[in-house]
Amino acid sequence: MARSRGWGGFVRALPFLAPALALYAVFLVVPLSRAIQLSFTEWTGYGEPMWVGFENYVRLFTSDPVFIVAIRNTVTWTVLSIVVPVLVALPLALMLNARLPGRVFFRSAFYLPSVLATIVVSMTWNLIYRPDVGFLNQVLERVGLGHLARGWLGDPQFALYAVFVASVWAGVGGAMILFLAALQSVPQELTEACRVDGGNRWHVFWSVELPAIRPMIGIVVLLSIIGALKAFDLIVAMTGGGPGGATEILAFYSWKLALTQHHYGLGAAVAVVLLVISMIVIVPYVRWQQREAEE
Amino acid sequence: MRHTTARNTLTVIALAVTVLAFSVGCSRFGTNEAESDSLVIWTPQYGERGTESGFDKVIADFTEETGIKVNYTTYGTDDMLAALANATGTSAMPDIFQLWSGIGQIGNIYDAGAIEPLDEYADEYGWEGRFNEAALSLDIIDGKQIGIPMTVHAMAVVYSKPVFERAGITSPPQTFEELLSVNQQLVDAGITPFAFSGKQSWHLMRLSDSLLEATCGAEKFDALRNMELNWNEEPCALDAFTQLKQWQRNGWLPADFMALEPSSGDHYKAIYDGTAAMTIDGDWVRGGLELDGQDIADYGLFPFPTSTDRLSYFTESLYMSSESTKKDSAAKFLDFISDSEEYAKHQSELNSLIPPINEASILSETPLDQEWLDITRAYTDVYLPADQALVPDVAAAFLRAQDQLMIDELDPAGVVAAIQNAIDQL
Repeated sequence: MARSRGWGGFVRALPFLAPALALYAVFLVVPLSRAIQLSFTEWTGYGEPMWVGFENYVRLFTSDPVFIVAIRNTVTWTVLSIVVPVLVALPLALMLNARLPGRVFFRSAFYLPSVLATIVVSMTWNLIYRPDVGFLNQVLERVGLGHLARGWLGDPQFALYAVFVASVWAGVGGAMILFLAALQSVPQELTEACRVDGGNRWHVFWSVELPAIRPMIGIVVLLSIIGALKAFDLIVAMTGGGPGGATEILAFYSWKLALTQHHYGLGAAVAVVLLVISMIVIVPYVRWQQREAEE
Repeated sequence: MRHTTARNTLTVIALAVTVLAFSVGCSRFGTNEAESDSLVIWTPQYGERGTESGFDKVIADFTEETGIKVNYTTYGTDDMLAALANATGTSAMPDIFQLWSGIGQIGNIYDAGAIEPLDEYADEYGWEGRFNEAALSLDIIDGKQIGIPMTVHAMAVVYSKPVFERAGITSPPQTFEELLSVNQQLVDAGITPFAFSGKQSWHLMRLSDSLLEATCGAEKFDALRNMELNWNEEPCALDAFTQLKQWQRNGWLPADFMALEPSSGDHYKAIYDGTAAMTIDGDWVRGGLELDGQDIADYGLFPFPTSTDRLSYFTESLYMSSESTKKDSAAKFLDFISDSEEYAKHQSELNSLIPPINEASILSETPLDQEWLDITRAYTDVYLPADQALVPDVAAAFLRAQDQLMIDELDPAGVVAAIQNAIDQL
């Protein structure tokens, strides 16, 4: 018997979808609509919001130097998040998929940072990066590279990348586990067949494993992009957007405008811009992934 | 048929559960769950969380004496501002709340008309002469008293006596010129004069404020902060930031200090190591020094010499909500907590070495505490830190531009221009 589809099927399914749809509406659609509405107002949090139309957006794009820096930093962070986690996590997964002594220990060791609270990650890396007693500068001094030592989180050229390294350290374990799972689902007979055909380890990776785990690479990249676009907590804990605004990113700037400078409308406008950027990046990517999967 | 009935029943149950869940989960945020006759008071945390604080004890005494119950909640500072923003205009607004003074913190609440002036209650309860004059001055806006000071904090230069001795400095500098000379003397002895932590901007802000006070003088400094003068057109403002940059070039500030975290006291390591001599800190400094195992006797204080007879200072004050329906009871509480006898009972637990009440005793436990009290008693005029004195947008621009000066992204002219630009955009 053919399954009932179309409008009639949807109506019949509606009572069962209703709880989820209600949750979706209350916790996503309503707050999102409210935020978009707020972005067209000026509001200090006290009294009634005042409608100002597109004034907030005009101000952001034409006379707010911090906003431009925040966009640039967010794009930089996102691009790095697309490339670096995969380049780090995939080789780790490949190594830990092999029958090496201590691989269970190393899998745990590399995964452990992923379960740490952000405040612990930030405290750890704040200490590592301290210019006076930090581990990084001390190592550089000891190996004769003292001329490279600096105040990493106080140097505008390096601060953003320094925080990004902490972010990769905390997040690569999760990506590694996903890649491991994908690698372990690659059929053994395919890798054996490749070896029988004279393929070395590189051939096995390039011709068998990589094509097999491509969907997982897509998932990891997507998750990395989403994580990058909402990066906030490490910036708050490690630099506060400084030095001199050098590590401002959109999510943090939105929060700062609203909660510390009492510009809820302007903060909402930044959040809406971030939403638009997120949609521009993620929607085509997801559709491309779906097309690839169907092919 | 039975299958359809069962499915419909399940549907109704699912919908009912959902509605019930939302009814419970969406109960109004910040609803005042206190009994209707209770006074609602919000303050920052006094003492250790989970223990009975000095403020709790005052409340207990108040309830015992007056029969007025109090519903008391503590918040972190940022949480307090968010909670007040959510509560304004609703029945969830507290009757009394505590915040840092200055338009940087209370400006928006005051502009929204949410703070009740206290002049009539001040007359009724005879508060004239009750409060520390300097502290109370920060609660006068538009000629009206809008709060009572609850905690009072002063800031000054904290210096290491052994490090001064090592550099051959026999006494703290009394004038700005002497300070510059002392700085150079320290550098010549291989010591960095001042230790600061540059992250979050607020520690270096203390030096910026002090230099502005020193170069501009009290009247012009206030006029600049009140946006009555143009930062681009006042040479003293440019001079102050030129000084700040010169201090850095002279080696009077530590290298890489912009990477240090002030809330962790990172800058104190250099002072403990003897590689730096001074910093600007507040009367709470003793706690941190003791926690770090330092001998308090090794540390001294002097006001940053600005030649203006003003001290860097800030308070936290209790404010009454204009939306309170229990204003008389709220005023009674404000009078109660500031009564010298009641205050004296719990003074040591009310987070204020410098008492806001004139008749309160002096509770100095160390010579360093006594130095703080001696310094503050010598001043009746005070100035707030920039992040409390400036409206939030201008404060943010000030701090960012100050930092950009330190990392060579702006020159001094660019700093004053950035500050004035923020003012122009208001």
